[in-house]
Amino acid sequence: MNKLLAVGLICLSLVATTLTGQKAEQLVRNIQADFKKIERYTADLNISFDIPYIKIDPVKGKVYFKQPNLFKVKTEGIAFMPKQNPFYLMELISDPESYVCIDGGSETTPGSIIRIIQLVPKDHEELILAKLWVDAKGNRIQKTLLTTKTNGTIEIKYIYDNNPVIKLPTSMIFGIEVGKFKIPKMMSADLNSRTKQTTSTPSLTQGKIRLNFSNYKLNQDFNEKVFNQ
Amino acid sequence: MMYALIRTELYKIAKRPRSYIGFVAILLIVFIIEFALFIDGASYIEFIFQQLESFLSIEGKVLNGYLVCFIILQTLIIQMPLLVALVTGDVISGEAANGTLRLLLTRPVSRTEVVMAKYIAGSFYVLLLLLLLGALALGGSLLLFGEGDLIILKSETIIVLKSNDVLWRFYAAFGIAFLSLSVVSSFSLMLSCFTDNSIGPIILTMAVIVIFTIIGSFDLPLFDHIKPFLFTSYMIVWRNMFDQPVDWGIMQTSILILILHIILFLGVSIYYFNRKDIHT
Repeated sequence: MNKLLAVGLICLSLVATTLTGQKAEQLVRNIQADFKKIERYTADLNISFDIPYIKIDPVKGKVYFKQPNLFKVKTEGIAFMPKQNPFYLMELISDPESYVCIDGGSETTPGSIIRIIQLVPKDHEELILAKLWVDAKGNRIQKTLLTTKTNGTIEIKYIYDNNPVIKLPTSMIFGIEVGKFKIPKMMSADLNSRTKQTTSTPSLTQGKIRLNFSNYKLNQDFNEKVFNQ
Repeated sequence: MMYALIRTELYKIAKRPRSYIGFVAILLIVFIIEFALFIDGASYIEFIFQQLESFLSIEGKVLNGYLVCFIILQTLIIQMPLLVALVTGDVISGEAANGTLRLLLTRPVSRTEVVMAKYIAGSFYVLLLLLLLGALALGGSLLLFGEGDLIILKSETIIVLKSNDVLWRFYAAFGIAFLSLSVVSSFSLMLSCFTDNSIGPIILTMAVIVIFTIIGSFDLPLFDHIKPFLFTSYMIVWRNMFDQPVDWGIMQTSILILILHIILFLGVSIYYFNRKDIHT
């Protein structure tokens, strides 16, 4: 009787796992389907920075995107951007055969249920693991944690307005890891500065780059030469 | 009378071939740097930012006229005072060595006026050098590389200044550079009063500037106590104009110290020269 109960429980848990796994996959497909509807877009951009060791005022610019993964930020001055392409993820989920989807459970926040999904690419040139926090109700990604082969881990938070037509974020906040850098004295404007004593291993500190999007223009033509500049 | 004295001193400066070494040197340095950066600036920028680019990518036109001008000014930190000393270092001792000082002092002018006329003429020379540097380094670079935001590299910090917030800083930096070089010119004038040897004050001024600059750039804790007493520590304060925000407290203090140095060196020059026995 006990054996029978144990076997039953195992079967039940396997079925449950399969079901939730399918749900997670479905959620990812829904996000991809929504994103696929936007063949291209442009938007005005305002980038603000909170990066250790770097003093820079907000920068204006324009962002261009074309499926599947052409992405270009044009700024009206110097700007620092994350090295990682934020559309690695969209590129990955565009082919359901290219990743393994693992359901990581859910978190409840006021007014929504956030599903945690992990995507393990089967063969991606850069991405090792993608962890997604998805608002199951609105089919919107709230946060991603992308682990890459050469550029470390990057966290991206997505903020949306209540526009039901444009399912694109109004803000993306990139959490980046910045290591301490040293510029040779003869190249820096700091001949008289005292060099601070540092530990042998350079420590990484967290920085943030916030991209605020406005004036989205969906599926309207623009000069694609911008991607080659 | 003072005006005539200054004109005579300017004429003397203009007649000496060595006065043109400074102009030629600036012309060459600026041209070489601008040409090199125009040809291979991209790899230079890549080299400087290679550490940072392992974390972030940089968008926008980094190599622009403002950055090139800043690099040129940075390079000329040590050279400019030496070029000034070359001319102002023997304004009195040179005349003593040539035997024209006594003749000069037979004119109905006070010795103080002579010293002041020589200092003003030296300052005019400094101004001309800086105007040439400004025209070539700032004007030439903007013409060749265009405008853009300015990235200032500090040893452990990077400051990005908007292009519309840069030009006034350069003007102020040139103003402070003029004050700094005036300190050198007054210092060399003071040394020039002490001796009848033409070349001595020039060499001594150069040696002092080189030694002070080396001490200033060393990271030894012992030197931290000495640095505030070296006038060269305040001569590079022009770079603080490119801080964000500008520390006006440091700027005011440094400018005041530079002015006090000029007054001190000129005061000592006038005091000593008024009591000096003129033998030649």
